[in-house]
Amino acid sequence: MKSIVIDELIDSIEALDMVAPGKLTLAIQRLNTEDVALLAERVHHENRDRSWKAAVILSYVNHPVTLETMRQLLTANHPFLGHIAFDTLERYAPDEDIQTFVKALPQSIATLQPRLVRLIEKRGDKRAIPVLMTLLPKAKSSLLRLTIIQALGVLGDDEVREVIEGYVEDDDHHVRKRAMIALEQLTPSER
Amino acid sequence: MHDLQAYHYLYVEDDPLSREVMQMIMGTAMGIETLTIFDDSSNFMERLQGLMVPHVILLDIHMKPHNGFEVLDMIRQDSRYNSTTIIALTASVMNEEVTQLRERGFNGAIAKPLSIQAFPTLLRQILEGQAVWHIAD
Repeated sequence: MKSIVIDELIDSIEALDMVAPGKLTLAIQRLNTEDVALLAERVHHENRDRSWKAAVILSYVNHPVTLETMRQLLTANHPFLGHIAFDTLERYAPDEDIQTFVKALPQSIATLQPRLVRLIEKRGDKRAIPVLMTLLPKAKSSLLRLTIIQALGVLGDDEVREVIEGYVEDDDHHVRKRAMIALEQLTPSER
Repeated sequence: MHDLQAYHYLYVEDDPLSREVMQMIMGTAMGIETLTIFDDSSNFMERLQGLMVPHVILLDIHMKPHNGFEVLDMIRQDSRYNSTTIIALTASVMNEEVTQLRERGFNGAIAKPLSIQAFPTLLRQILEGQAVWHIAD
């Protein structure tokens, strides 16, 4: 497709296409590598409206350029882009290096952080522990505190015990409960 | 096929981040203009009765002053809401809570944190009567 056609396709995108790609199916099948590269360029466009619309189209194209673009978008300062990137990487790159997500975690938008933490917990990579420990005291959202404590309970060992103990008196009942569960999960000290 | 945009929704949630995500998913991505959000469960029935009867109520389980189970019981005692679909939203991954949610009368459950792309499908499945107890990924 020519760039003008790509731009027309981008302009046709609505928010609903993020969750229901039906009308895009045919257009996506016609995209070649050059088109995908053009879309990736548009994602980094200064126009934020055009940027997320291009990302929505790319999110349905399983291509190395898509994956590279989505890795960069995990830290985008835009309400949708990080979520689109996360869902796309989960869909097309289930074996993505966990470090991609660990590195993105501190810089990602607040609404995405609980999802990143849950993924890191599921993947069971202990290299995330220092990042989680740094993020926890800054977490204003009870949902984020809860997901981090849960992940530390699964991934951590005695080194995180003291930090989690600080949350058994948290203002949020659910966080307190999760801190107690996490403490039970941690390996008992051999001292 | 349910037209999700035609329904009235109520979301009761005391975590601001979760409310922001729901606004983003239902308001922006799904184009739903009929979403009301309560930021806690105080005076719940009084506030509920001030609304048009919602087709769907999404309840956070761990909130104050009444938790999701207590709010569910209040709603189920009022026959005006007999046909309302009530969905639990929870960050818990404990199987015993899933059993409790099912036994107490929720129509389904969706795990937090929510996914923009998965949520509409799960919501639609619950409205179609499918058993969705999506607690742990």
